[in-house]
Amino acid sequence: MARLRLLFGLFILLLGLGWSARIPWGESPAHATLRLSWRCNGQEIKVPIAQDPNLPAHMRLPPDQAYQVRMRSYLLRVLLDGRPLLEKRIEPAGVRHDRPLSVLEELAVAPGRHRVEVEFRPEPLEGVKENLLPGYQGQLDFGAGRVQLITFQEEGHWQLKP
Amino acid sequence: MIPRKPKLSRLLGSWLAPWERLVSWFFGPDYNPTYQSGVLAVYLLALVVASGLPLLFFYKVGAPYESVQWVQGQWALGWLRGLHRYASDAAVVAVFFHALRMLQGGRTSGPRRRAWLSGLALLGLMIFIGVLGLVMVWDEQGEKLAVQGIQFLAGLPFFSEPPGRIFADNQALGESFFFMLIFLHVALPLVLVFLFLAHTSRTARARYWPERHLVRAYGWGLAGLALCLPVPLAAPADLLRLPGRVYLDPWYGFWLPAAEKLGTGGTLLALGLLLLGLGSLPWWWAVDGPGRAQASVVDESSCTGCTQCVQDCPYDAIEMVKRTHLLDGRHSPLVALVNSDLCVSCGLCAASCAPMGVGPPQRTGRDQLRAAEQFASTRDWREGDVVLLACRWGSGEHPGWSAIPGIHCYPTGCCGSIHTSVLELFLRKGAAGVFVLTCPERDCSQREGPKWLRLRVYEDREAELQARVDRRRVRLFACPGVEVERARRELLAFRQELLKDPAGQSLPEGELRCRSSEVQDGQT
Repeated sequence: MARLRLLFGLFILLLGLGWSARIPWGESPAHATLRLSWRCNGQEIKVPIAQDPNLPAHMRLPPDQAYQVRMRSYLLRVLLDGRPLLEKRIEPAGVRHDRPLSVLEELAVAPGRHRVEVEFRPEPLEGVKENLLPGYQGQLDFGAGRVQLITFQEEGHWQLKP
Repeated sequence: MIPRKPKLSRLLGSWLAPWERLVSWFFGPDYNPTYQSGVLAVYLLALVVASGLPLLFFYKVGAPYESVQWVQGQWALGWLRGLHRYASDAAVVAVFFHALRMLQGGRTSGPRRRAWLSGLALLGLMIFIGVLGLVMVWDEQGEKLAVQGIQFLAGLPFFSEPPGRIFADNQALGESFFFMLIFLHVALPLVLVFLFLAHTSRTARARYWPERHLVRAYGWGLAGLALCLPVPLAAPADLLRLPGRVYLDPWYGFWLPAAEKLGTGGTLLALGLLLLGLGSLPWWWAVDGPGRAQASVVDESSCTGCTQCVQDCPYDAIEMVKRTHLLDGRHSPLVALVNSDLCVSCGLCAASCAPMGVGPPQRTGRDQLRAAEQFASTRDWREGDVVLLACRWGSGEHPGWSAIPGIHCYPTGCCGSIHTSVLELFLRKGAAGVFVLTCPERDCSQREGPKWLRLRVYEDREAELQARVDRRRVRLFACPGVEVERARRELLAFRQELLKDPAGQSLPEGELRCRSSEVQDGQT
């Protein structure tokens, strides 16, 4: 009897273990996702360094080197069917913000066909000539549970996946 | 004063009692997986390593899912994969029960703090390695675990770019990612070994392997399970498709539903609080338990230098040192010294010392004799009366014991701390028998109490029960604390035996002999 109980107990234990490997979890997503992901070198700006005029000439930086290089922040704007979906300031990565720009955004979108516009531009700066990058505009099909990936290439080209 | 279990341990014990009774009913003391959960976890991890090594040769970092799918298609390899997965699941379950057992026994504080903290680290690392293994399969479950897991890294201030970008696109995920996974999955278990050594560093005679019958039962059981119920393989991961309903391994992926509900920040906060609570547990769980109990002390004038307490201490807390006092030639050159940082105040040394020169304050053999004498002198002894010595860490505090006629309940500390002279004293004072209710040998809160008591009573281990004591009048009964009814039946049966055969009781004291020993001697 004790052996039978043991076998039954062992059977229940193992069955529980086997069942635990088959616990279904999660739901099929009803929405689609617009994923924006890229990494690019942003524009640089040269900020002049104010030099002390009282310094002797040999201690001053040559005029063509008297500046600091800073990376520009960018503005990311996403419009879905003309309505703004995301507006975000993208700062260059790194503690000193001197690393390339990285973007990873996931936006839930209702399934169907939508007009998507993405703008990725340097933040306007006073007195700096803008080198405007072309944005993305297009009609995209969003299936439930599917991801539309938009990436930005260094040269200002946009790429869609799948 | 006999230390009690911490209040929280007693509370936990009362909550778990019905479950424990059920498990005990099914498995009995020999096969109860919760009694040997620690060594069972080690055995299961060994099984994981043994079944994982061959699989390693078939895993391709360039085509992870396809290689696992191929493995799944091969009869023997698919079975091996099932064994690998089920054994790793079972190892986490065993560790969980092991931790629960330690909490229930109040075995987390004082010198056991290191074992608790290293155990937490072991469990955390085990779960991390297991999650890596699930991600390596690169099916939908692996994808979910990876994508959600990387969010935790994103919250750390070490990354200049969002680490989740590697999961933006199927093509962005290169072989290097899977190579890193396999490297960590193989290398981190080596860290487990070091943590495991730290975990057991404060225990003497640490056991690393379960008994053979347990190895066979659980080994064959898991092998059969892997054969009959192969581990499922979900659809391949596709980063451009949101994973839907997946099979979730609850032992390694338990955090995933929480992460989706609470968000990354909420989950990190919850995990942090959980870690803080568990990490600080040795300081707040056992405030009235053994953490406050006092370490053993040695009476140097009584110590004969026999080293028995050193041999019996389950925590390596006693060592022999050169004597610096009482150098009169009449005392041994070596004397026992207790390291109070390692002593958990279990009291096992008190019962190991024939001259009663060591033990926790007020619990040495002499103190025990004094208390037993006082107890015996207040009783009105009648024919067939039995003294029940029941461990307070087991079922000694059960209210039912005091209501049985003819039974005098005498709660004690761990049965291994009862000096055998106490058993003899009760018999001399008028008890017909002494019934010692011990915990099962594999489930002693003080590790080796029932074993040492058995050897002292029946096998002449030092500080043995004297040969003049009739063993028929002493009964050691191992029973889980939750099975009070079974112990009660055995106790009453023992009393009936004594009532039926009072001959042993009427023998003059000088003629009392260990009859079982005589029978054995006659046979040999």
